[in-house]
Amino acid sequence: MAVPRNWSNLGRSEAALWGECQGSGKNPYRTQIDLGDPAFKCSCPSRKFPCKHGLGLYLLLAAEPALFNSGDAPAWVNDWLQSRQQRQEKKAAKPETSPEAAAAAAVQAHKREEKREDKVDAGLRELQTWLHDLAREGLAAVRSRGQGFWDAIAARMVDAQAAPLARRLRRAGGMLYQSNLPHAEQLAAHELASLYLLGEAWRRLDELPAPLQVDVRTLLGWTVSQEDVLREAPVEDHWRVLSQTVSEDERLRMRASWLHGVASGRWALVLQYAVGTQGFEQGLVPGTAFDGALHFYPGAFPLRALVGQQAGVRPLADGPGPASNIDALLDEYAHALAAQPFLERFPALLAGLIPDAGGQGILRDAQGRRIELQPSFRHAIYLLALSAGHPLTVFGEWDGRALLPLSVWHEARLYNIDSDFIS
Amino acid sequence: MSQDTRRLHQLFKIGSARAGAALTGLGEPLDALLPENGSAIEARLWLAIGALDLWERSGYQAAQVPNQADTPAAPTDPLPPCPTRAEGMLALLLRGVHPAGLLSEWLQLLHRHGARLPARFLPNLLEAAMRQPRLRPRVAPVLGERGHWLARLRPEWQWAAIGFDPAQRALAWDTGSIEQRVATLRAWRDDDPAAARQALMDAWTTEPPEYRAALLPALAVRLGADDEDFIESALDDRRKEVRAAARRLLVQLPGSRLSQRMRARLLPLLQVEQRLLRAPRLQLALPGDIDAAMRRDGIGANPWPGLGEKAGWVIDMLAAVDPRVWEQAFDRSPRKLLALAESSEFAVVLIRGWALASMHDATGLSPWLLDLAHWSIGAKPALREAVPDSLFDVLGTVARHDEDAGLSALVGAFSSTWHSDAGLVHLLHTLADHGAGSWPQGLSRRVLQRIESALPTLATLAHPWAFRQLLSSLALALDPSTAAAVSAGWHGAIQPDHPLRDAFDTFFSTVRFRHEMHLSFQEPA
Repeated sequence: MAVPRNWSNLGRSEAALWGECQGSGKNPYRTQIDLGDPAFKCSCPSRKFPCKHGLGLYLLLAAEPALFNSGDAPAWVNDWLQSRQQRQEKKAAKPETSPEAAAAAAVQAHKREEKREDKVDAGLRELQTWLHDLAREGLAAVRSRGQGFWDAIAARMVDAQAAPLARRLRRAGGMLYQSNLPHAEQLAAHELASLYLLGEAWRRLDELPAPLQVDVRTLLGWTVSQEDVLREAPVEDHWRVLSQTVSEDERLRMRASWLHGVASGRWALVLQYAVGTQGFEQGLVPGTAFDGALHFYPGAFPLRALVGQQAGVRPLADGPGPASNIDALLDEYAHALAAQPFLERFPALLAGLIPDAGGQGILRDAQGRRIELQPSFRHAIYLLALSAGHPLTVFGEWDGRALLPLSVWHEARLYNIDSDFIS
Repeated sequence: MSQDTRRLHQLFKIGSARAGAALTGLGEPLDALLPENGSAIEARLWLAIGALDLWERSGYQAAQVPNQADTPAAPTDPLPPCPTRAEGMLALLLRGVHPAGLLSEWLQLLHRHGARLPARFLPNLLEAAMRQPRLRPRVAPVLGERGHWLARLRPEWQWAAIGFDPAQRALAWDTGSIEQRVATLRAWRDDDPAAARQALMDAWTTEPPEYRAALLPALAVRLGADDEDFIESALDDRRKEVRAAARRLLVQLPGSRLSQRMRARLLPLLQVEQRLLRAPRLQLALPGDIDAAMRRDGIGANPWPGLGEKAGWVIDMLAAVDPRVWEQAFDRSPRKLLALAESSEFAVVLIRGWALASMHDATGLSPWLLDLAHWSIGAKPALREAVPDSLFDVLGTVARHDEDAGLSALVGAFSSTWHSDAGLVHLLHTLADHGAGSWPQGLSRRVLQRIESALPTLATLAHPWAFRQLLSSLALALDPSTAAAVSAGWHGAIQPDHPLRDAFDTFFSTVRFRHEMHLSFQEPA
């Protein structure tokens, strides 16, 4: 599509980009892009969004900008831009609901909530019994039963509306049958013990500090709505986007970005979701920084956040920020675990690390101490290529025993491992 | 992992029902957190594993690694980094968006630019060149210090690790794998041919025969008259492959004793016959018998299907003699000699032999190569096969240096209906199918003109597949700016329902990408 031959009447203004594309039909398709968001519109019948014409138009601009005449937009472009603006204004003015309806809805919600709590409670009791049985029989004895053994209890947790437990149980079982995972049995045991502790925490939920209660509920599958999060007090700062990973589960894609606030020194993990071929709503690009307000999800050690406002996006010119060393990291991690013992991901920005040329999967710090890389990390050779024996600044997630590198700062540039290396 | 953890995990593995042992305490302060002995052992086991895990993670201590003094860091690179836009182009190539042949051209452009590969893609290129040895000579000069440093870490990348350090070279030569030793010997020949030959001669008698066969061809690098005695002695080797390798080398050596012996055998067999009222012709008398000395020189070593045994011997002999010898012997130009041969009873034998001989000298455009190609495109189809397709391969490898427009003239000599002759289309494809580097503008323009004049009748071709093949190889060979410039003019001729429409679309998208690729190296680094 990004071929000049297919296009006519190409044009651009400060707000928009447009062109007419000759498709298989008689009349050319009118394709237009609002450069603000960006948003796409096209007169073609395709249900993909954005359609191939919209993408082609964008690619053409990147490849051969000289083909676009700058000037006033034709009427069909202006109409669309105006209607978009009106719709946005409408969206901003939200309809108010009556107090009676709100009260009725609250009662309904409360009932649903009680029912769910009962279900989760029953599910966790079942899980506890199951874990006791497992400890009695021994891990070696159940190994031969295969993944089905784990899927069965996972399915029970889905019924009990505790979906995250189902996912973690399947994962723990999967570790045992993964041929190249070192210490698989210990890892599975730790994961299961953590689930056991989570059950204990649920049983004594009222004794826990309020923020930790929120964490426990989140880990059991309760969600906090985005509206509620956006009502939390914003943290204004200059945020550096230090890494980004995209993972896919069935048709749902999850994008995890780690941000670091320059003034506050706070870490933030922004999780975004998109279904199928859709794009992600907000733009976050690793290796850039922006001025903005973040709203943190409540919890005992808040890391997850939503981006409220975002302005002034620019490349990360002044480095990844103040890096720490292994001692400071271990201190911070111990404090974080003390506040929130179920913490799954913990950010670590470490300077002066040299990938070990002998045993791949090890980094050495300036004092010659070893930091192991997580077994799932497959890019050790790329770290070696960047370093060539010289120290690197590495950002990653620390799990208490090993580091999962997510990005590297090298020669005045941030390399996001998930996207900047091709393997 | 501590003793406590090990004990707990062991207990969990065999199960409390079988273990029979009581759970011993973990010591202060963890014991205080765990419930009294009254509760079930399973509950206490889980709590203990969970607590100990948290305890260990929050109190992790990094162990000391033994000092790695033997792997020093890579020195600063003298080569400048790759231009940013070109790096982006490389990322697209490595993601497999465009034909694989472009990678080789990109590497050449980088080398010409005098820069080094981006560090982040070094593993990808070392891996790609490991699988395709043809890429290695393109990758090696742009690896930079980082690349050489990295290549030392994996045994399968050793071909790229060879630096200019003589100690390292000696080590690779003495203890390396056979592939490493071949690569070392070639690099060594490039630096110091005599020393490299001496190293091979010193090791020669102790090498197993398959290693001798693998190592000997490395002498082709900077082959010289000094090498002849040693190679000549290899003609008496016990292993057939070694003898064949030695013959191939001697044939490439101008004026070698082997080719003089061949010439002496051939001269009595060839004669120009003057005929009354008809064109003269070259007469060939087949040799009588074969002796041990002839066999030693490789006569009769190759099968020539479709030809008699003795005719095959003549091809073996002719292939070993520089064809310029015949210009002197018969005092005629190559074209005249070809005309003499064409009317001979043994036309195929003579021309096949000359063609093979002219292909040994691939250093530049020898007039024989071009004249044979000219003769071949004008010849009757039955005779055309006497010139092997590989001759156009050899021409293709030197097409980049077509400064004197010899190839342009060849393409110009194609008949006006060349595109309906599948053989000619295929020959042009063979000529173009070398990916590496662009043709000069003159040759590119000439080929584009020939295609443009064929455009109106392309839709009715009897063999569209051959033309598709031609377009895909031309997309990689033509000078990209010249080819990109014609794209607008061709739109009218290639309508949406044209049977070759998709082939032309791919052609232009490849050509445009290459154009961008060339431009991306023009911005300052």
